Amino acid sequence: MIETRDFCVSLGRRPVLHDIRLLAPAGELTAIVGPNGSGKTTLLRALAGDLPYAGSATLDGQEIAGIPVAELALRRGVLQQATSLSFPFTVLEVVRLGLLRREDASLAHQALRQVDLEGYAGRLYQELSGGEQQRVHLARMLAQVGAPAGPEGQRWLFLDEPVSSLDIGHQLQVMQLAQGFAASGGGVLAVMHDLNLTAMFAQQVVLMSRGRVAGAGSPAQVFDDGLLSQVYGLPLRVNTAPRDLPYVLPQTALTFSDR
Amino acid sequence: MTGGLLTRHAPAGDRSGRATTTLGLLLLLVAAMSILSIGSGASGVSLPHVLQDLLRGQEIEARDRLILWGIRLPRLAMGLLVGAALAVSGVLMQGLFRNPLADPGIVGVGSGAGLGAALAIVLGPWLPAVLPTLWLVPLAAFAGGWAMTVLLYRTATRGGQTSVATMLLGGLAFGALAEAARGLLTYLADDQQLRDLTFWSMGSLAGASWRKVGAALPLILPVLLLAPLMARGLNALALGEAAARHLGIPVQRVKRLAVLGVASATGASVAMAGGIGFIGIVVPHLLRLATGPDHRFLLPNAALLGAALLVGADVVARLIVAPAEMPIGILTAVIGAPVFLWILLRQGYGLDLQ
Repeated sequence: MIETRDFCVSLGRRPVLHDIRLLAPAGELTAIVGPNGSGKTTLLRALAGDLPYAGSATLDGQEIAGIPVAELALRRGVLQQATSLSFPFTVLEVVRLGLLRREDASLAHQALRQVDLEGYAGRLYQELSGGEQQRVHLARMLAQVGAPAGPEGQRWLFLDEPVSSLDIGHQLQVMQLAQGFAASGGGVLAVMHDLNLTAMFAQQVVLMSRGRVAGAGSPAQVFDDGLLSQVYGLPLRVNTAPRDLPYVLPQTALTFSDR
Repeated sequence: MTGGLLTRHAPAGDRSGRATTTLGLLLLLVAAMSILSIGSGASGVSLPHVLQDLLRGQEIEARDRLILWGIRLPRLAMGLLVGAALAVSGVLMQGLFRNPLADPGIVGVGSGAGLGAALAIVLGPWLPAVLPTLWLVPLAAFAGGWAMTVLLYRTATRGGQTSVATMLLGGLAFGALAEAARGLLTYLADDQQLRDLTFWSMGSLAGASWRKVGAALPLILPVLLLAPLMARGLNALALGEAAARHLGIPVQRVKRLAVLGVASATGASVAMAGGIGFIGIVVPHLLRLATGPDHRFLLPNAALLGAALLVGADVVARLIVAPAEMPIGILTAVIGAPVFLWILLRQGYGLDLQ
């Protein structure tokens, strides 16, 4: 469980997040959505231990700021929006950078299989496409955290726009992977832009607006015409697909044709 | 890791076996270069002859012993130490700056160390004699190299991102300032000091002695032995500071240790052998091409290849214009500068000079 109270973060002197109340239970996929600049990435980075904060944020009951980096690394992995790699490592070598213990060696190949890069182990990282590189880092993170839950407690995945550079097939695959991780007892906190993928895969949604939480709950609760239109500043309409899955359609084109 | 000389079925993308084999080959190369170095020189002492005498249980001629023990062996020891120190400094600096072009000699750390050494030589006599000059010079060079590395890192790195352009150009500016200050010092120097100062602009292993080796050893050997402990941290740093922290690396500590290591090894090398350039950039680059950038192997292999290369270059420098000898810095620059340009011009090496 990740829980924050009176959680505030400033970047330099500029306050970015105000009084964030967030509850993300393990076993579920929690998505953080909201317009550009609403503070999603800052929230994720602060919870990952990258930024100082005021108030309280706990990971399974322990204050995050008080957990040493080495221990934090055993309990959560972080996939950044973009990761740059400065030397010509092979794909396998990059994934192995995630291994925190030597006995985990087989995890690297398992992780590559999970992200559909099994035959890529010998390729040079720099020669891959952006989407493939992103999946290499996902595999590195999976190799780092290992099993979703074990005797030492739950593991967490912190994903910052995990599917933004992927094709539709791999988008679904990565989201299924994250969902499966949560279903096996792990925790997943993901910054998402695609509201429809969020509706399909997330159990919890935190809607951010200008550094505050504008709405939180299940996708069915948060994805409301009025709330979304107000937060994103454009007319949006939520519809439901078969099996009551909400999906969101921009209304701009319709508005124009109505005139 | 399953790396080893006999690893035949390493999984694709696993270069650890190849790197371990390379380590063995480099050990042989160092041994070969060492024998070559002891066996060659202007005086014409013949190594096989001396060895024969030794095996027969005969005394070595006094002249031969003097040349071998008093001149060639300390020169070899100095060459091995300095070569290893320069190459390992290069690897550490490149890991710290996350860029294959960061070389202590190119970005002004050598100049900073040189300024430190020059200050110690010229101003040393005015200081209370706490330390003999022999020890003061390498320590001052260490301090100069350290100050320069910290200054450069602060200048080129903003918010965990190192700008390559700022690093290279800033290094150029700081290096020029240090050289200018060193130039000014020549006006304060007396004749003997002037001769010592000139020696640095050349770069040479001539004048190596056991006492000098003894003074350089405490600054170089710990770096060579402890650097591999930083390998995991440097590997993770290749992903950027945030990602390294996510992997549990104490980033600030790794960075501080790397800076200290660079300053210590570069400072001692510069104090003992002057400005020998490009070893720190050529050696790591060749090894990355051959066995990959994994610092667990790169650090020990670079120490060996650097040692072999410098000792080899020293042999050539002694033979090419015998009985005179060419400053070794000329030789390493002739080999190294084109390699530097080659790396600079190659596309897709994570270089962004914008």
